[in-house]
Amino acid sequence: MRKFFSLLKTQLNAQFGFTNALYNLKNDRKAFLRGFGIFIAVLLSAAYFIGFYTFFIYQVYKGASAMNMPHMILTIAAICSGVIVLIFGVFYILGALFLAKDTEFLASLPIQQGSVFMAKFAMVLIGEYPLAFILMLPPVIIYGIGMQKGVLYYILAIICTLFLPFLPLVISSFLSLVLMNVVSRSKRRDLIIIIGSILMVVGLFIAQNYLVSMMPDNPEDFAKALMESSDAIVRFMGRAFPPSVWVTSALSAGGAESALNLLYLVGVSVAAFLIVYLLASFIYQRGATAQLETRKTTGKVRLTYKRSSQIFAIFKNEWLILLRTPIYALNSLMMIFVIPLVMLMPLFGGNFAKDSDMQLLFQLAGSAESQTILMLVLSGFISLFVMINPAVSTTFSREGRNIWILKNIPVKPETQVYAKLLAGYSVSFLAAAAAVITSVITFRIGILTALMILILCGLATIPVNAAGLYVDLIRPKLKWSNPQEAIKQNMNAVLEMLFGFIIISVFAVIAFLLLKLTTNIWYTFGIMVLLLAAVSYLCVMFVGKAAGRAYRNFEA
Amino acid sequence: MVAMLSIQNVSKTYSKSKVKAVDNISLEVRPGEIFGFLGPNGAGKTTTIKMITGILPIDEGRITICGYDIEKDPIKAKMNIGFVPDNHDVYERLKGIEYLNFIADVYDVPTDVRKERINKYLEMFEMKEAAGQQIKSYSHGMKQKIVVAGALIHQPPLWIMDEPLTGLDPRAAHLLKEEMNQHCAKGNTVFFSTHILEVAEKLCHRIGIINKGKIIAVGTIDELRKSEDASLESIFLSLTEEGSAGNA
Repeated sequence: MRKFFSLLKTQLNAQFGFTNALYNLKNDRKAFLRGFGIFIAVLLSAAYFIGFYTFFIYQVYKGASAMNMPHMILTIAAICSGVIVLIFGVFYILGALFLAKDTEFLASLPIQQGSVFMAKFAMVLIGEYPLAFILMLPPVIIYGIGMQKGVLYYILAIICTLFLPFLPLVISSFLSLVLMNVVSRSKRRDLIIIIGSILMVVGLFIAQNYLVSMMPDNPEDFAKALMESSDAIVRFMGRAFPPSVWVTSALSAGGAESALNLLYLVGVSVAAFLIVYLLASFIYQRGATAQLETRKTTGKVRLTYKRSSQIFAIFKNEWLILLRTPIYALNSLMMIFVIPLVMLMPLFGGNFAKDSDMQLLFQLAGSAESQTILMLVLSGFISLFVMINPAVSTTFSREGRNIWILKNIPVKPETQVYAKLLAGYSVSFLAAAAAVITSVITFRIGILTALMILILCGLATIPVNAAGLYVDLIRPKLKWSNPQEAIKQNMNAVLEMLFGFIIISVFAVIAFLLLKLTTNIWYTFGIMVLLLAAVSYLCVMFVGKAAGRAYRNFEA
Repeated sequence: MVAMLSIQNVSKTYSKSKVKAVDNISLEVRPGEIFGFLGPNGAGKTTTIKMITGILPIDEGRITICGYDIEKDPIKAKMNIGFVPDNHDVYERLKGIEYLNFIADVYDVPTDVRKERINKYLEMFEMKEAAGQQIKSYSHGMKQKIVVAGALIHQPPLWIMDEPLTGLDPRAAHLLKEEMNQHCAKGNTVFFSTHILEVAEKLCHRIGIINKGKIIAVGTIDELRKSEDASLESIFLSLTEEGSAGNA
């Protein structure tokens, strides 16, 4: 156990940079304050989302209380928390367990593979807690105050929140262990990791949607079930993530039922973990070291010598590295698949497509009068989704120790910045294009409107990406030992989202004001295109100009 | 005659330190010269080399490559340099041939010329088969070979090499030393750092020794010798010890 704690401490220190922060606090106050400032900025932006979420939960609480189901908010929060950890946990776990650069070093240490697995699992689990607490605290407090709960309730809530991400991470670990063992037997490892992970996430999405679609077809049956018990809706919703039902009952039922449900949550989580831990004790190392093995080609090698321009050479380089590094590919290219998948959900579910609200949406999509609003709303919606892609906001960070190459090559920093922006932007544009195509299929919007949406999204993404690139240009995270740190644990990706949110919000206000003046689709489209193109141009020029000075400050 | 490399009163302090890593150094390296840059660990060799190649900004002073100022005219200056760093950090997810093509692209090497040079260096280092594989599968020495090949592909007049022989097998090291000699015979220049004093003694026309950020000696081996039978090792040890004692 001593080795486990020692390893966990080292892993946490390496991941969150405590030692570096302490060093800066003592020796480089400027760097410390800069880091602290960024942390506060991220907290403030998180506060905005938390405020919005709390308001939403409070509204649901008021409505649910009127139906005598106030505890429903606990279920909703637990489902959100569980599902998010489950879907994104696959990448976290895969990155931490199998794609980290310390695998070779850890394999050489006299530590059992089960302990290494456990330390890495604990590290990811701790990393998931902020999200779990952000999602659980508002409903716990609203419900606690509303129902005048005592101290025991809050203690139980903390225990439940601590165990909530357990099961999703155990499932992610199990899937990752299986995947990496398949990978260890195959020749094209990187490709299988990428495709396998995408399939896993798609599978989880479909399974989730299937569970949700198992709600009663007939509204009368559903109403009848609600009349019989106030817990009926919780049980129905809980199908998406069963621990959410246990959490709800543990916090709301009281007495023995609370204790029993808490026992379910803790017991199932611990049992599931033990099973995966046992499995990992036998097969973890094989999967973990699979990425270290490389295939040697034999026979005559065909070499090509095609010439490219400087800008295209850097663009091509970015794409090749993005495609061939599983952790980069999964985090950047995933959006190309995830956005369409989310939008296609109504078609998978079956019942959802028959929903009266969806029918109304289809009608709106088809009517000529609503095309302008549809164009603007969908453009904004897709642009918001696309900005989650971290390809641009981590482009310099991903260079890591290779940054010397960019500083040494005889290519202007400005040209390099344009090439990198173009490469990252192409990922965003592909994600936007995939989303637009999907919206044609799902919402049945016309081709012309779809084309307009694509143009607006394409333009709106440029200033967002330029802002992300600028952030990474002035504060790249070049010192990392694990590629996951460069892309996944990089604050620059969050800052791009923050700037992106501000940019899209400003354009949303402009669009809203424009709609008050005219609803003509061509005028609206034309004005928005002109405005977006002008802002895009200015942003691209700005990052180009900032490149020279920023390159000087890169410390290789 | 324009010096291939001119370092004038150059100083450098890292942002996190108050000590000068390089302290007011001046040096000129002429065409046709192999210049060995020696010094103990942490003396300032790599910092100097990083400033010469434009990787680190210069705090004070000036560096010119073939007459081009590395800070004011970086693109032209860099076009004249082939750089081999002391680490082997390259794009590991690229195949060897992709890395070489990338370097050839950024240095604007025409297709037929790059084909000939890539083949020459791949054959010289026995890397032709490995060039089709990702660099992450290479051994330490193979990575060094691909970096060296990349640095020479545009045939720059000035080669800047930081510990170029480390990790190379004896045959590859021998061939690289031959290349260095041939390069200088054509009127070009090689500036390299090394810890292998025998190599420096046999290969270099002139040697510079840096200690604690200051150049403490520059000259031919004969000029550095205080007595007739002194080896470069004894010269190095006595100079660097003097420097340490002087600073103590």
